[in-house]
Amino acid sequence: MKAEKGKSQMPNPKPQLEQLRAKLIEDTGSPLEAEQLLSTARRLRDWPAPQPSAQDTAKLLAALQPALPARSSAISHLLSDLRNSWPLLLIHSQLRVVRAEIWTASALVMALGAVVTLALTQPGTGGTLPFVLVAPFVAALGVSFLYGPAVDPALEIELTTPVSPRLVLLARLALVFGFDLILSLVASAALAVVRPDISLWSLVSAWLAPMTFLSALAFLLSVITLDTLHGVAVSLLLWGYQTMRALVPSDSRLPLLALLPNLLAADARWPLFLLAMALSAVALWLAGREERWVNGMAAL
Amino acid sequence: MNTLVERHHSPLLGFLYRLTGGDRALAEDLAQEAFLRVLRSIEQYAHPRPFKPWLYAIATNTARDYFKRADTRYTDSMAEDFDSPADDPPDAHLLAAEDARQVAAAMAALPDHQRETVVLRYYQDLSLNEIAEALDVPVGTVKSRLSLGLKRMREMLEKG
Repeated sequence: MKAEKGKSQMPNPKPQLEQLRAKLIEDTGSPLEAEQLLSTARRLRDWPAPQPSAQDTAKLLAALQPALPARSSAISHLLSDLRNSWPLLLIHSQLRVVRAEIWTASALVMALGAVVTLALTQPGTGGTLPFVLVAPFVAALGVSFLYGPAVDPALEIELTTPVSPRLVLLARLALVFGFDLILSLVASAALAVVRPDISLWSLVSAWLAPMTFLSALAFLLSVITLDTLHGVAVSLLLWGYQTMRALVPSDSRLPLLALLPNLLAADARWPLFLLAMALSAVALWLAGREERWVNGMAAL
Repeated sequence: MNTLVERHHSPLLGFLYRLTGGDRALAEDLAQEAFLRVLRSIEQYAHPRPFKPWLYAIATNTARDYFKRADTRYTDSMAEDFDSPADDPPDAHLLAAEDARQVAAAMAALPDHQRETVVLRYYQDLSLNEIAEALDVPVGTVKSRLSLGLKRMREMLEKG
């Protein structure tokens, strides 16, 4: 019984030899050469390696224990993955490229808009709140400064990187628009807290669609013309008109003002969102065309 | 981590034992260092890429770094007094030890890159593609290293 057991544990040498021969043929590409090397390859088995015992493995595991990362929760794992995801890394890289003045100027004007709203309007008087007029314009101005050789000192380096200009621009757009969006939400929440007659939802609904549309328009204009000034000028004109329309009583308005659409109206919100998406898509498509950069650079 | 170590400890120790010319203590130290490197760089491992070539690439680099630091070849001290793992009766042990010594000496005569390739192929049973990935060389280079390495070993073993 013991002998049988020993026999069953012995590896059958014939298949092993065939396997070794097949391996040598694969390695050398020649059956003749494989045959010549077969005895050498067989002799390699004469040099056995030590087998670690269970205690050796336990000792190794104990030695590795201090280097093991602390068991992280699923949420912290998810957060870590998110932090290292390429869209966020790309957005983070653009933080250093976007002009620092944009952040400060946006925050100051938004804060001013909120203060003016509190100071100049009384509860229950109705009408368009000044903050609704300020927020879209601030966002559009910030977005106007995202594109073009004149506003991008690192442009030539960026053109040589594997990330496409479209993605770089999309990252900047997300960064600046996201920043203005958060600022506006915070300011709106503050207004709603200080003035209980202001509904947070109504206030956000009033500025969100115009802000999205005006930013997309400014973005497209700066991409088409390769000039920040065009985006700023058109935003200023369009929003100046909307401001006049909102502030001047309807019976005192110029007839021309009545002909143009009211972008602050509730029924204009969805069309404005759709239009904003279309304008942004066109702008990104145009921005990805490399020859635009080359021509634009040459014109400077 | 426990499963990973339990599964790969023995083959990795065997690999490093042969690379170090039969120095068990050094092979154990290098195995520990290799596992530490695996732990530190586990986030760089791209699943579902095969794990074995990645592990052996780390182990090979660990051994290379050690010998670079020590300013010596893998096997400068091998074949004279390597640790024999056998637990056989004295006569068989002596014969086996003599055979092992000859193989170890022949292995010691190989250039480092041929020894790494032969050990990965004939002791660790890695495929040609896996070895190519582990050593970061083309499959053709793996084949030529194996062929040259085995021929050189045959000459050495025939000389006795």
